[in-house]
Amino acid sequence: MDWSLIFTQALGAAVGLNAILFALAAMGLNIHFGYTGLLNFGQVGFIAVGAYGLAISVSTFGLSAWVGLLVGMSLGVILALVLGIPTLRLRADYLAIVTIAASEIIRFTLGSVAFRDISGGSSGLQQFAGEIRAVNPFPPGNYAIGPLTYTANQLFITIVGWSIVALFAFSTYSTMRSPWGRVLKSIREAEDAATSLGKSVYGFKLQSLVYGGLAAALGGIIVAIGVDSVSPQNYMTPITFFAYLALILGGTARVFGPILGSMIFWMLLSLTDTILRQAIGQGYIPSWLMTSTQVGQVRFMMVGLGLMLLMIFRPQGILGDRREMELDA
Amino acid sequence: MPDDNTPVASDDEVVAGDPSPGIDHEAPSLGELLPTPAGRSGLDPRAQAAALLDVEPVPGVAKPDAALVVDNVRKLFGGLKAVDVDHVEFQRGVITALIGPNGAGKTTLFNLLTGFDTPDTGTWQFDGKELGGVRAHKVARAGMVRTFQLTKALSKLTVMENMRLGATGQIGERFLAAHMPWRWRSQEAEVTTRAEGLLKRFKLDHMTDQFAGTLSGGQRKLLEMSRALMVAPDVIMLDEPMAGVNPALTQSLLEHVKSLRDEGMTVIFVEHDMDMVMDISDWVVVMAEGGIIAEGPPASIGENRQVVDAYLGAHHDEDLTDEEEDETSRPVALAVKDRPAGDTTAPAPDEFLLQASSVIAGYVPGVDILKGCNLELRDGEFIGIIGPNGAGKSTLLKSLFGLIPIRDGSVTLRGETITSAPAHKLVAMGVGYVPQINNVFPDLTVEENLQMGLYLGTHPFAERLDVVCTLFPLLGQRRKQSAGSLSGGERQMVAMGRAMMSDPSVLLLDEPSAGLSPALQDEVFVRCREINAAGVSIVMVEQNARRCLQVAHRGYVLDQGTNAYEGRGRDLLVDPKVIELYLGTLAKVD
Repeated sequence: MDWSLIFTQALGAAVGLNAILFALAAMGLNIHFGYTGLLNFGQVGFIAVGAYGLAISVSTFGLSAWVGLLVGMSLGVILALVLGIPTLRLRADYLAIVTIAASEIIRFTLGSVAFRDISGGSSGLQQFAGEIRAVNPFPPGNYAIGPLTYTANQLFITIVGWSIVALFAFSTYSTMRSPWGRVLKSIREAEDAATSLGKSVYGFKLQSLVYGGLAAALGGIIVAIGVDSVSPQNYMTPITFFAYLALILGGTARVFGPILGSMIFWMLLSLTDTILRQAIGQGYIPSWLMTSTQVGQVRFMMVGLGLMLLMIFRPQGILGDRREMELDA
Repeated sequence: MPDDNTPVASDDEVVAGDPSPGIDHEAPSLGELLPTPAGRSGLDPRAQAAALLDVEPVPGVAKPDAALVVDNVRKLFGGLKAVDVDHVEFQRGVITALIGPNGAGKTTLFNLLTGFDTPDTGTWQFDGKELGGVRAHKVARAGMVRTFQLTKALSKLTVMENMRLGATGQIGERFLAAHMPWRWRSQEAEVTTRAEGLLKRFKLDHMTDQFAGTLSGGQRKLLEMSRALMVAPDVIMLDEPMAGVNPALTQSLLEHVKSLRDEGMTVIFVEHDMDMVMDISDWVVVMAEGGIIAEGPPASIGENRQVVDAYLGAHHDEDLTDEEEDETSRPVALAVKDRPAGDTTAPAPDEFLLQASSVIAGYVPGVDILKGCNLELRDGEFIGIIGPNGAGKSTLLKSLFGLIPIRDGSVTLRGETITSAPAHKLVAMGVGYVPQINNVFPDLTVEENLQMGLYLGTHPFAERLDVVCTLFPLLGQRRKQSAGSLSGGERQMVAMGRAMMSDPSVLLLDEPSAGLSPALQDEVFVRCREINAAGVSIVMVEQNARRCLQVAHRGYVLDQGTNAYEGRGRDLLVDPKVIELYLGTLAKVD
C-alpha cells in the first residue's frame, strides 16, 4: 500500500477547506453549547446564509464581492436575532427546535424553483468570488508546501481561512477569560443564579447566539470563495451534527477543542477512505466482503465506532478536563 | 442544579480544620467590603428593631419605616391559590422571618417579589419604586437580591469566579470591552479584593481556587450568601438558608445573617428551623394557604393559636411518645403482609433480612466516601441512620440499592448476595427506595406516579392503591393533580406512597423529612412507624436525629464513612459521645 499517499491525503484533509469550515462552525457551537449551554441544531443555516449572502449579492444583484462579504456576515447576525429573540426567553429545547427547522427552511427556500431567479434553484450559483480572488498576492502557479501541492488560489484561501480561524480563536480566548465569558458560563451552569445577581440572561444569550452564528457564516463565506460556487445540497442538516461531533471530539468549552476536533475528524475520514480503497484495490479486502463503492459508507461506520470508543473511554474529548465533567450538574 | 452524585467535600473536614467555623472577625467588616448605597447609610439597626415594638401584631400592619410594601399580590397555579397576600410591609434594617407550613406559598411569594415569576395581580414597591412587572435581573440591580432553597452554585466555575460574577456594573461584561483587558483589569482587581475579603469573612478563603462543585452543601450555602453580597444589596432574601446544613455550620450561618442586619441590610428569610427563627428574627410573618395569617415579634408568634394550629401542629414541643402517636395517627387498615407460601421458617434473631459488611464505595475514582460500613436489618425492624453532613449516610443507602458500585465488602438480602446488583432487580426482590430529592415524576399525575410504583405489575393496582391511600389519604384526594404542582411535603407523600405500591419488604428512605414543616415532619415519622408496624422493615437516613431515633428500634451513627456508634434509638439520643459528635453544642436533648 502507498502509505506516503495515504498520509499526504490525510494531511491535506486536516488543513483543507472542509476542516476550516468545520472548525469555524464548531467554534461557533462551542460558544453556544460549550460556554453558554444553548442548543443550536441549525448551525448549517448560518453557514448557508453567509455563503448565499455573498453569492446572491454578486451574481443576482451585481454588487461588489466586498459588499457581498458584509451582506453574508450581516445575514448571519440577523438570522441569530430572528431565531433568538422569540425563543431565548423560553426553555432550552425551543431554540433547538426552531434552529433545526430554520436551517431546513433556508435550504429548501434557496433551492426552490420559485426563487430560481434569485438563488439559482437546485443548481445554485457560481463564479461570484472573482473580485476577492483577484487580490491574491501569490502569482499563478503551483506551490509545494511540504508534501502538499496547492494552486495559488488554494493557497490564498487556505491561508486566509486559517487566519480567520486563528482570529476567532483569539477572540474566544480573550472573551472567555473576561467577565463577559464568565457570565456566559454562569448561564450554562445556573441561569437563575445569574439572573439573581443582576445579569440580563436573555441579553447575554442573544449576544452568544450572534457571536457563534457569525463564526459559522464566516465559514460559509470562506468555502464559497474557495470553491466559487454555492448549491443547496451543500447545506444539509448533518453538517450541523458533524460540527457538533468535531466539537465534542476536540473537547467542549476549550478554545482549541473545536479546531483540533475538526482537523482530526477530516483526517480520520480521509485515512479510512484511502486505506480502504487501497486495501480493496490490492486485494487485502476480498470483494465478497466489501467493494470500493461501499467505502463511502463504511468509513463513516468506522469513524462512528471510533467516536463511540472515544466517548466511552474519554468522554471529555481530547482537550477536555475529566474533573470538570465529573462536576456535571 | 447540583446533583446528589456530585462528589462533595464533607462539612466535617471544614470543622476539623477550623474549630470555630463562624465569622472571621479579623477579616474586613461588611461595611468596608460593600459600597454603601444611600438607603443604608446611617441606619441604626437597633433603632429600626426598637421601632417595631410599638407595632401592633396583626396581619398587614403598617411599619414605621418599610423597605418593601406589598399589595394584593395573587397567583394561581392550576386553580390552586398559591399566593394571596392583601397587604404586608417589611421593616427596613431588621431581620424578618417568613414562616408557614409546606405549600403556604413562601417560596412562590419570594419568586413573585424578585421577578422570577409573574403574579396574576398585584403591586409592590421597594423604597417607593414600583417593582411589579420588573424583570428579575433588574430587581437584583435595584438592590433586592435573593438566594435559592436549592443552592445554585456554579459548579464548573471556581469559588472566586462565582464571587466575581456577583459584582454589578462590570465594564468587562460588555462584548467589545471583553476583548480589551486593559479596560477592565483594574475593575477586576478591585472586585477580586472585595471578593477575597468576603470569602475570608465567610471562611471560604481556603477554597478560593476550587471548583464550586466540590463544596459541601453547607459551604455552598455560604458561597451563595457571600456571592449575593457582591451585588451590595439593600434587601437580601434568603430562601431556607439552613436547609440541609449541619448544626455546627448553622451557628456560623446565623452569625452571618445577623451581621448582615448589623451592617444595615434588610433581611427577609424563609425558614423551617423554629430555633433559628426565634433566635435571630426581629419580626415574623406567618403564611398559610397563600395568605398572611399572622405577624408579630417572634415571642408573640408561639402564643398565636392560629399559627400553632396551622403550622406547628399540636405536638411540636413534645416527643412522639407511644400515647401521642396513638392520638395523632388516624385509624389505619393496613393489610398485614402475607409471607410467600414457601417461606414458613421464621427468621432467627441473628438471621438478617438485609446485611451490609465492610462496604467501601464512592463516586470519584480514588476517593472512598464509605470506608467500611456495616449494617444489619432484621425482619420487621426499623433502623435509623444519623450522622453529620458528608458522613456518607445517603451514599450508604445508594450503595445498598445498587445505585453506586461497591468497591469492596458485601451486601446480602435474605442471605442472598446482592452486592452491586442493579437497582431494578432489587425492586423485584422487594426493596423499595425513596431518594432524597427529585423523587417524584413532576409531569405525571399522582395516580400515574403511583402506577409507576407498580411498574413490575406484581399486584393488582386497585388493591395497592387502597392500601397506599389509606396510609396517605391526601394522595387519594389529589389523584388527578400533577405531582409537580404539589408542595414539598405532598411530594414526599407521593414518593413514599409510590415505593409502597410494590409491597416491599424493605424500605430505604433518604431524609424523608427534609424541607418539611415541623407538623409534616412529625406526620412523616408517624407514617413511617405505621408502615413499619404493618411489617415493612425500614432503613431511614435522617437529618432530624431526635425524631428519627425516637421512632426507630435501633440507630446507627455514621461519621466520615464508618460506623461511629450504634445502639437502641433512645440510648443513642442521650449518649454524650453521639451528642458531641453529631449535635454539637446546640443539642437539645430530652
